[in-house]
Amino acid sequence: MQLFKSKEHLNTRESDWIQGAKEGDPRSQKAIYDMLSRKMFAICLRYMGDRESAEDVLQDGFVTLFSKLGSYLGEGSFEGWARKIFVNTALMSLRKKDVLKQSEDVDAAWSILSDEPTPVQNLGYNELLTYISELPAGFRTVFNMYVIEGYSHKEIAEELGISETTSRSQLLRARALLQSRIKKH
Amino acid sequence: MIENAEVKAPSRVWRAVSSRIASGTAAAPAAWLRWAVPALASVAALAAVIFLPGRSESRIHSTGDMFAQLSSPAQLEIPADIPAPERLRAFARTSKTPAAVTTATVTDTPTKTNTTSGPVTAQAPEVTPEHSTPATTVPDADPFALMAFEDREASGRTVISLVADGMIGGNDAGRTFSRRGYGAPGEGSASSMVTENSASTYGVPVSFGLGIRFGLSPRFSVGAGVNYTLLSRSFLGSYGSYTGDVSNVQQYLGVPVNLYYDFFNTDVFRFYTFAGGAAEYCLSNKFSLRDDPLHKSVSEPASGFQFSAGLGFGVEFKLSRNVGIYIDPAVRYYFKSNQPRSIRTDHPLMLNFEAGIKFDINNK
Repeated sequence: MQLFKSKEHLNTRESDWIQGAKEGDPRSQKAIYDMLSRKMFAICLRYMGDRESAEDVLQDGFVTLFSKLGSYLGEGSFEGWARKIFVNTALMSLRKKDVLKQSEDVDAAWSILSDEPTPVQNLGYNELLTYISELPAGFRTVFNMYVIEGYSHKEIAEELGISETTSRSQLLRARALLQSRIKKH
Repeated sequence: MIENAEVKAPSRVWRAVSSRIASGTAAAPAAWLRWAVPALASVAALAAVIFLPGRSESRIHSTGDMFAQLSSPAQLEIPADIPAPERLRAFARTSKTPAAVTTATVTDTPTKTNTTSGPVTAQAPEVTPEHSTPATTVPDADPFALMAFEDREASGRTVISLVADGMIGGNDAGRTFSRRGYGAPGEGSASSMVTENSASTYGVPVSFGLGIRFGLSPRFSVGAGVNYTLLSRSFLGSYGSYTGDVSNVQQYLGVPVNLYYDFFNTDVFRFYTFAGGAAEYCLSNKFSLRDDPLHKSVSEPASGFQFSAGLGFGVEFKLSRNVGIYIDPAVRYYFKSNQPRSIRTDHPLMLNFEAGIKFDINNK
């Protein structure tokens, strides 16, 4: 007797849900929501910083996901495809709030950095998520995109409409702020 | 890794998503609407409860229209000549085919591990980018709104049921059902014509009836009906010069009223408890002289009503959505009512066993 569901079995179910959701089946849509909502909400929280904004972005993200589902052709991970949608939705929301255009003096930011290692490995996901969400919007966005999503500074600059220098400086400030807050606690 | 962190989202997010998908609304409602709609609906419901007795179609009409105004910026075109409950149903099912949602092609996002070229193209659904896929439309059917509407309507709709039942009562000191029960004369009125010379042997009390039940709320319902009861007993008695076995048969016509409370209700069965009372009128009280060669019988009229109160529990097995069979064991106490002597007067606390079939006539 198979005690654990094989990855193939899970992927088959996922495909069924995706197909059902494309056809407008509410159960399939709910299944997809249940499958993705936790991870996507964590992403929204990391980008938006507060729960209310994160809930709005999560809502918008799922509406966009279901409306764009027809364009997902099964190439690549569905979760990865969904993640892009939610990151973009979060960025759009932040762009609307005009909180991303901040410029900093790189030298001044560098001086804030500490050389001591950050005890990140002792933090749980929720704690780290909290610290990230407490960062100012601009720092938080660049930090999320560079450190977690893996964007380059050039890509961040193009996406957010800022200079590469600003992206780098905001990352430095974000790291410094994160380090100091984690150390305090 | 932090990118795989998970945080549980509030259930209201899914409700908002499902309603927006179903209505084809791309833009989220303004944040203040999130609080304004339930707040205003609560005020309206409270005002309706306080100022309007009972349910009326006009109250449903105004609440449904107000909800329509608040929850959807677009004016829903519902014909005015449709009755109010149907307007609600039309509101729930109304879903104009939304304007085509133009989707942008999501290109591969370059990551540190992915070398695919090209920037991320992030477009709002309402913007038509240079490269757009064919429009995706939300189906006309409005399953989420309909399911939510059905839940709301079911919780407030009065379900009416017709009931046909039969009942047997305990005849052996009110606790067992035996072919013949025995008992000494109790509080009942003795016959003025027939003299009883021995204790009575009772037959099993039998009742048949029809009734109707009204749902007051999802758990409470009230039932009333009409039933016919046959009581029988025999004893050694004398009438004039006759002495021998005497059979006494009484027929009652009664109106029972019960209040039911469902404490468990599924698609297959329902558990409930009930309590109520009944008033019965004696239609006939006949004594038959069994050993009399002339087979004489004597009728002695009764006056007044037999009052009783009872409580019990029941289980209904649903044969279909609208038909179920039920079993109701109950105890019933028959008050001293100056009625002819019977098992009820001799053993006023009785165990009854009722079974019947129930038809829901408006449970759609």
